[in-house]
Amino acid sequence: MEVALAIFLPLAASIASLFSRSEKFKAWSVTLGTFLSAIAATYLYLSKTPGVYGFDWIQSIGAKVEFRLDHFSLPMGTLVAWLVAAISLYSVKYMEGDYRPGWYWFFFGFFATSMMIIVYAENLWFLLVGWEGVGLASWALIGHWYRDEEDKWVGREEKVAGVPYWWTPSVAGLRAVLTVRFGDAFFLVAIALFYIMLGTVSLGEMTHAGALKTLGVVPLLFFALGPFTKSAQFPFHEWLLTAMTGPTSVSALIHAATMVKAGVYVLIITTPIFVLVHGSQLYFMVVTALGLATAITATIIALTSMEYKLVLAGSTAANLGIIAAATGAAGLLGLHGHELPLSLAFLHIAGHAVSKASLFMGFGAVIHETATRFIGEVGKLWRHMKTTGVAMALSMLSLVGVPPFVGYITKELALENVFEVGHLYHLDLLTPLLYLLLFTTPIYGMRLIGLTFIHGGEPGEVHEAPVLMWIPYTALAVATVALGGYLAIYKFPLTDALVALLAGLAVGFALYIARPGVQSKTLRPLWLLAYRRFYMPLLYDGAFPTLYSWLSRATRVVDNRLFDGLYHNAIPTAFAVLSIQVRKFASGNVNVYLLYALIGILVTMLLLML
Amino acid sequence: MIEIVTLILAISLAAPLALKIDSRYIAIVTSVALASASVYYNMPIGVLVSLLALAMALDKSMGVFGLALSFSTAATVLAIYVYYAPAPVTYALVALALVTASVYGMLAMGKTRENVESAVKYVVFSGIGKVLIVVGYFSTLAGVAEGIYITLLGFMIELGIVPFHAWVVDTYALGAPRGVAALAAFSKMTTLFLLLAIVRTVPPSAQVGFVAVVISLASMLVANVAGLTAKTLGRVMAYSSIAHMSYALAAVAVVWWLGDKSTSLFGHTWRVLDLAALVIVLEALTTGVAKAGIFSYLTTNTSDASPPRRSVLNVLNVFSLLGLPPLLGFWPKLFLIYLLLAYLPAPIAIFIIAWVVVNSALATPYYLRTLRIVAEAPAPNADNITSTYTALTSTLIGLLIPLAFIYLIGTL
Repeated sequence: MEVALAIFLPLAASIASLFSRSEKFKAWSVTLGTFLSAIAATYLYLSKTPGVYGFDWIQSIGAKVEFRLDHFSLPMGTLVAWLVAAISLYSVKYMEGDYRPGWYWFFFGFFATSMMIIVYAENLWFLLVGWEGVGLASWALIGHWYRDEEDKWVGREEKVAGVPYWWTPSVAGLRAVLTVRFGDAFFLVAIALFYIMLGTVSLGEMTHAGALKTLGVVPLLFFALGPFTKSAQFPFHEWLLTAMTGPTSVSALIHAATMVKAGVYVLIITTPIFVLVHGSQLYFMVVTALGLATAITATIIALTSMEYKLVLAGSTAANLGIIAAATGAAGLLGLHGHELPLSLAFLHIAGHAVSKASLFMGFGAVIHETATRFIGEVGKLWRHMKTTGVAMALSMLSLVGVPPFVGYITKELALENVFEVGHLYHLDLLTPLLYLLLFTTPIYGMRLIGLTFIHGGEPGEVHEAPVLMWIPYTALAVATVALGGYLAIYKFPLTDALVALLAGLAVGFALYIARPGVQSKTLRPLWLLAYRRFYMPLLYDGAFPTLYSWLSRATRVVDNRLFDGLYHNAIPTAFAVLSIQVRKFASGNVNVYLLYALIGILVTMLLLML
Repeated sequence: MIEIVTLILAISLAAPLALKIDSRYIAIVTSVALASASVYYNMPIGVLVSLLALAMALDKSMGVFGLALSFSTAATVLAIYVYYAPAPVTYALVALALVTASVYGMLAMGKTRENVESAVKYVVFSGIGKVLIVVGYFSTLAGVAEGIYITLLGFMIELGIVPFHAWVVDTYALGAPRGVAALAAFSKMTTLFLLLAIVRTVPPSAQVGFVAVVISLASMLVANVAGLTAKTLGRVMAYSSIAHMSYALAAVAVVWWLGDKSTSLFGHTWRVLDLAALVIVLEALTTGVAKAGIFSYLTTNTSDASPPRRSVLNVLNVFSLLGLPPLLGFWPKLFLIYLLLAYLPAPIAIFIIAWVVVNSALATPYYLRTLRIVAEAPAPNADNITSTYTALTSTLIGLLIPLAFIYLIGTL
C-alpha cells in the first residue's frame, strides 16, 4: 500500500489538477502530491522489509504488477521522491504566470509517477510502463513552450554546413522522443526475447532461470540500447543537450531525478542478472567504453559551451557516462570473481543528483533574473544574488568532485571500479584518460561560476531569487556538504586521482576566477570543434533527416506508382469490369436463366464424372 | 408440435371468414402461438422466427397477405421442429411447399408489374428446385445412388447458388420489399433446415461433397464480385444472399467430401458435422434476421430504388451481414473456419480457409455501400418495430454466443 502511495500520489494529484482552472490549485495540489509521495517513500525506506510485492497482470506474456523493495529501490525511491518534491516546490514560483500551467503540472506528476514505477518495478513489462511514461512526459515538458519564442531556444540563429544550429522547444522535444524511441524499440524486443527464452521477465526470477546462461549477448545489447538512449550515452547524448529548451525546473527534473537517471539505474539493477550470462563480457565492455566516451565528450562540450544550461547538461552527460562506465566495470570485475561493486556506481547517482538539482534550479533563477541564457552577457551576480551565489558555488564544487563534498566521494568511488578494470585488463591508456577527465571537470565548473558570479559585465536591475525558489536549491547545496561529511565517516577515498582533480581546480581557478580573459588563437580550431559539439548535430539534424527524407520520397514514389496504382487503380478496375460482366448474367430473361440452369446441371454432372 | 402447427393453419384459414378481421391480426396471434409452442418445445430459433413475424405483422397492415405471413412463419417453425425433434423429413418438404406459396403471394403483394415478375420468377425456379429436392430425396430413400445428386441440384436452385442464381437477383430487386423480407427470412431458413434434416438422414457422398464444395466456392466468389458494382439495395442484398447461402452449403459439403471426424473446440469434443450444422443454423439466422430488418423498413414498391427514408438501426444489420464481431454474422464465418481447421494440415483446408477469408474481405465494399444507402437516405429516421427487433437480435445473439462458449469452458 505504501509503495503504491509513493508511486501513484503524484499522478493522482496531476489528475486532480485537471479539474480546476486555478493555476495555484494545480501547482499546490501536484506539489502536495509529490511531498506526500516523498513521505511515503521515506517511510518505506525506514520501515519496510525488503521483498517483492504484487499481483499478476497479463499471464500470457508474464506481465506482473510487482514492486521490488531492496537496497537499490528503497534509497533510489526516497532520493527521487524528495528531489521531485523540491523541484515541484521550486516550480510553484518559477512557473507562476506561465501560459500553459495545466499541461506543465499534469505532466510533472505523470513524469514523477512514471519514474517511481521504474524505480520500484520488479517485472520488466511493468517497468516498461514507467519507461514509456517518462519518454512521453519528457517530450511533453521539453516542448512545453510550444510557441518557440527565441529566448527559449538552445543555440543562436546560425547555420553550419547548411544545417540549423539552433533548436526550438518543439524541435528539441521531437529530437528527444525520436532518440529514446529508437532505443525503446530494441528495449521492447529484448524484453520479449527474455520472456521467450527465460519464461519470465521478473528480475528475481530471471536470476534463477535455467536458460539464463545461454541467453547470448545479443539480447543484452538490444536491452542496453534502451538505457543508452534514455541516459544519453554517446552517441545518443545530443538530445539531452538540446532538451534545455524546456523550463529550467524540467531540466532539473530530467537531469537530477528522472529520465536520464532511469537509464543508468536500469543498467545497475540488471547487472547482477547479466553477469550470469555466458559471453556477457562483451556487453560490459561496451557499457564501460560507451560510458567513458560519453564522459570525455560531454566534459569537453561543457567546457566550451556558451549557455548556462548547456554547461550543466554537458556535465550531466559526463556524470552519466561515469556511472555507466562504473556499472560496466563492476560487471567486468564480477566476471573475474570479484564481489559486484555496484553500490559504488549507484552512490554516484545520488551524489550527482543532489548537486545537479541544486545547480539547475539556481541557474534557472539566474536566467529568470537576468533574462539571458548566455554566459558572459551579464556577470558579477555575486553582489546581487549572494544566497544563490553561495549555493551555486557549493553545488558546483560538489559536482566537479572537490573534497569533502558528496560529489567527490561518490565520483571517486565510482571511478575506482574503472581504474580497477584498467589494471585487470592491462589497459594502459585508461588511467591517463581518467586523469584527463578528472583534470578537465573542475575547469568548466570554475568557468561557469567565475563568469557568472564574479566577472563579466555589470547587470541591470537584478535581485535575489524569491524565497520559495532559493530555499530548495540552497537546502540541496547544504546537503552536498552534509552528505559528504556523512559519507566521509564511512569512506573517504584518497588516491592519485585527487592530484589531477586539484590541478584542474587550480587551472580553472587561475583561468576564470583569478585572471580571467586568457584566450589562445592557436587553440581556437579545437575550441570551435568542441563548441560545435564535435559537429554531431550535422548527423542528427542534417544527415539523418536528409536520408530519411530521401527514403520518404522514394517510398512515396513506390507507393504512388506501384501500390496506389495497383490497389487503387488496377485491382479495383479489374474487379469492376469483372463485376459488371458477372452482373450481366441477371439479364431479366427467364429463358436465359433456364439456359444457365441447364449449363449448371451439365457442369455438375461433368464434375461428378471426374 | 405438428398438430399445433396444423391447428394454427386451420384457424388461420377460418379466421377471416369467421371474424372478418384484418389478417395481420391473425399473423400476430399465430406468431404468439408459434412462439409459445417453440418455448414449450425448447426451440429458441423457433421463438426468434415467430417474434420476427410478430414484429413484421405489428409494423403495418398487410391486407390479406397477413395470412401469407402467418403460413410462412408456421412453415419455418415446422421445418425447425423437424430438424430438432427430429420428425419425418416429409413434414419439412410440406413446410417448404407451404412457404413457397406464401412467399409467392407476399412478393406480389404490391401488385405492380415488377412485383408479379419477381413472384413468378421465384415460383418457377423455386418450384423446379423443390421438385428436384423431393424427387432426389425419395429416390435416395429408394436406393437410387444418383438421388442425392438430384437433391443437391434442387438445393442449389432453391438457395440460388451460382449458376442457378440469376432469378434471386430479379426476385430481390423487383419483389415487394416485405415479400423479399419474408423470402430472405422464412423461405431461406425453411430450405436450410430441410437441408439439415436431409443431411442427417441420407448417407454422405464424398463425390457429391466435392462437387458441392467446388460450386459453393465458385458461387461465393461470383456473388461477392458481382455485388461490388451492384447499386441498389435489392440487388446488393441479392448477391449477399447468394454468398451467404454459398458459405452455408460449403460447410456441409466440406464435411461430406473430407469425411466426418472429431475436433476439439473450447475444451469440448465436437463432431465436425455438428459444427457444420451450427454454421448453417447461424448463417440462416444471420441472413434471415438482418435482411428482414433491412427490407421491412422500406416503403417503396420495390427495393430496386433508393430508400426514401434513412434507418439507423439497420446499420447494425448490415454490419452483421459483413461479419463484424461481435455481431451475429461474425460467428458462422468463424465456426466455418474452425470447422476447416479440423482438417489441417490438409492443404485443401488451408486453401478453403484462405478462400473464405478473401471472400469475406471482398464483400466489404458492397456492405459499406449498403451502409451508406441505408444511413444516408433522407431524414427523418424510418426505423420500425422490425428493424429494432432485428438489430437487437443481431447484436444480442452475437454477444450471447461467446458467453455460451465461456460457459462451456467453465463446465470443464
